[in-house]
Amino acid sequence: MNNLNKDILKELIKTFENEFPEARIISPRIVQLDKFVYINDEELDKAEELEHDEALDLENIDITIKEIKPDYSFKPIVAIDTSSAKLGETNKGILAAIRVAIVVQEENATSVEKFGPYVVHVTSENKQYLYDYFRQNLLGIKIGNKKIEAPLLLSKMVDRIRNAIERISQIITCSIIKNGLVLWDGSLTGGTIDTPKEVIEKAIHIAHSNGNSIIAISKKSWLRLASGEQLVGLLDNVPKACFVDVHDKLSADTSRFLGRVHVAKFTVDGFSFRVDVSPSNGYTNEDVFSLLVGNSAFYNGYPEALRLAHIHCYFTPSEVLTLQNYAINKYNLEVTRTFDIRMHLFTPFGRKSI
Amino acid sequence: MQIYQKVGDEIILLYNPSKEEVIVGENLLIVDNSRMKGILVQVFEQNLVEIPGILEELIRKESSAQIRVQEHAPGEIQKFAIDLKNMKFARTRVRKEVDLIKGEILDWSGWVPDRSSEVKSIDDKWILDKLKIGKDFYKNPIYLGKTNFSKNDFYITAYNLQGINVVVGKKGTGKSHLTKALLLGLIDLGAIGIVFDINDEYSAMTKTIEGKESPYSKKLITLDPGKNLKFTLDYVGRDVFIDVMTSALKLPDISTIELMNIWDKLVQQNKLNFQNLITEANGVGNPNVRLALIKRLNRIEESKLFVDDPEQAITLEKEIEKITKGGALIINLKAKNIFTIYLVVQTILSKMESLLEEEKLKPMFFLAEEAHTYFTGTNWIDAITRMRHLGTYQVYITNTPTTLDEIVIRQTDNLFVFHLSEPKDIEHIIPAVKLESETVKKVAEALPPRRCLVIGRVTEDYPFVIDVTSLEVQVAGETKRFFKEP
Repeated sequence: MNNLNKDILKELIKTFENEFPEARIISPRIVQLDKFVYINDEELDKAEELEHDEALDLENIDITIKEIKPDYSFKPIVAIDTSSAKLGETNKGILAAIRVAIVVQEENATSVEKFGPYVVHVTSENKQYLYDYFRQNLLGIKIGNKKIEAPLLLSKMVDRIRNAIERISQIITCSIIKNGLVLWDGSLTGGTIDTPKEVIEKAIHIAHSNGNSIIAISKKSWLRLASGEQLVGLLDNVPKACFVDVHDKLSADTSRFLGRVHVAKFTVDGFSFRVDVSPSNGYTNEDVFSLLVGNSAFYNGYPEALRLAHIHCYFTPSEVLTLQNYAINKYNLEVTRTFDIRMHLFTPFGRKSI
Repeated sequence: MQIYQKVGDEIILLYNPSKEEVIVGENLLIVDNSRMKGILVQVFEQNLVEIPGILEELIRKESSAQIRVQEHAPGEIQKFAIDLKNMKFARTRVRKEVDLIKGEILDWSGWVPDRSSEVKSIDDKWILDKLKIGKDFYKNPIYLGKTNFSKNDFYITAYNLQGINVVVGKKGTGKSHLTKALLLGLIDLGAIGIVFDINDEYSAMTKTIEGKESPYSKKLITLDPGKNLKFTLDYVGRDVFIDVMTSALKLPDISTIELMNIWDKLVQQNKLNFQNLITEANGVGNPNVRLALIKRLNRIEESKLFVDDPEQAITLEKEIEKITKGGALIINLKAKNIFTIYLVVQTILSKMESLLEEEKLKPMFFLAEEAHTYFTGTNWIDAITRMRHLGTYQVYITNTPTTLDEIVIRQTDNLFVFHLSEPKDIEHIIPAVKLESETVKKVAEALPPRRCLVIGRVTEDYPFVIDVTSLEVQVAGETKRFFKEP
């Protein structure tokens, strides 16, 4: 694996500019401007995989709830998130934008560093090249003689690139602070369709060697009993910050889970989340929860640094328009009307969508 | 620039200010080339486009001011982001329809061009020519300045000023300047004016900016009450004198009857003069009546407005004879007490009325600044009805439009609006024009000093925004100041 640092994220702008297969026509994504929404296509493109990767089946609910007692001894926090937004379809493929936000919370200051938007043009011709480039050249995944095929669907390909950039960024965050807490969006599950186990292991190794603990918080968790019953509000009625270690209750093979799996609630009135923890040497999972609660602000129970990372990387409708205009101008694209089959066939019942 | 929406007679246009710009008052032509038709619209407001998320983005930026945000993005994206953030709406009103085949401007039929129509800025000259407004169309042109957008010369015809004209705007916005341009234009065309000048601003026009004698030095006659403006009682007449005593000096009814008797007696004896009036008042038996009369007559005497010697008095007829080829009598009312102002104005108005009735005077203009301070209800009605028909054309200038009597507003032929911001002021003047209140409100709020909205007979009811011309003469009155420097 290469020595990953922020310069690689900066250079990616040029990489995507150079790897921009010439297109002639663009059919821009319809952006509704009568209401405001954050745009992150990850949640659409990866919906099935997310459910598969982050759903937890518990064998029973005989669990022990532990209170989180804040530890106010100072620890720096770094949080990272990425997002993607489809900008439109060209006559060759898909035009999309990807952005990374890294938030660093030091003792007296918080800073945000944003990389991108990377304007990505994925076509049938370049998808394999891009796929290999990220997996082998940047993430250093050894594939031996076995060639890994890029996804068939170009829309999936955009998310694969976003995921690769996110993994690169996560690895970078593991070393940009010392003796602190590294917050990720998602889980510490390896061996998924887009993330080999070795990538997560490498990140954990770098984090630990810098004295950092990793906390991965999943915004969407599927907690359910073996019977299929949902346990969304497992800790809702517990009047304190608390967590439950559910790792040993998981019915699945836990070897893919590279951190310890918990359900945690960081504030009295906040939501509960699935939280995977990989503590640095000398710390327990409980210590890590205490340090997070003692060092972070929370919004509805969600750590502020990670919330800021989401806010800064997600796209707004006006940004999508901006990026469309940028790409149209830079690559001299001719704009055609977007064909929305629902609008044309089901009017007045069809609805435009973002 | 593209059509975004139509609401009633309002057309909302969307444009990118980094590529094109519009200004309030600008005229735009929206052309449907396939139908050879178009509509003429006028911008009355600019707005930023409300894009959902802009607020969120701004809040994010402002609220995280303590957080250092560093971005590594393609440099050119910022330009596009700024363009999008700054997209603007131009709110316009449909003014006319255009038949491109005949090249004619018509009243709007309600037809609306489609969104693919071309929107182009139109030179004011084109509209002025179509409406036949301009020096080339007039025998009696008056130059007022340049149109705000295309900077075309803007002329009106004095012919269309023969009616009721109203100039409104906040203090210091240029009302008097425009009025002076109107007055000098009228004088140049040989007309005669009478100015009720409450700030002594008009007499300065006898001098050039350099302090030399101006071309109007002989055409502007300043009359200062008590100095070179004095009347005999006989000239003023009983009705005016009694009216002043009752209205301005609040003389009670019984005392008024007594005064009328005294006046009639002195007329019968051919002894009517101010001194005899005081002597007779001193002889009144009822002590209360006597005191009431004497107190008021003494105040009038202090004004030195009346003289018994006809040689020391003036008459309007004689003064006007001096300016028969064009000129104005400037009645300096600055720093005069209210009854002096009232007496002077009433005397002049009633004398003008009778002289016009007897056809001893040619039609003339009077210009009244802040007329509410010396006009009564009867005056407004008389001025607007009888005097107008007798040939007295009027220009009212005020920074308090709500004080203009409703009869003035309803009969207004031309309106000149400078900056106004009070909604009630704007609402009050709306009936004067064939224009919806929102346009007047938005335009009036956006007018900088010396720029005004003109609408009425002089513009064929088409609203034009003009920058008022500068004058070659001195225009400011002198205010006594304690502090000489800022």
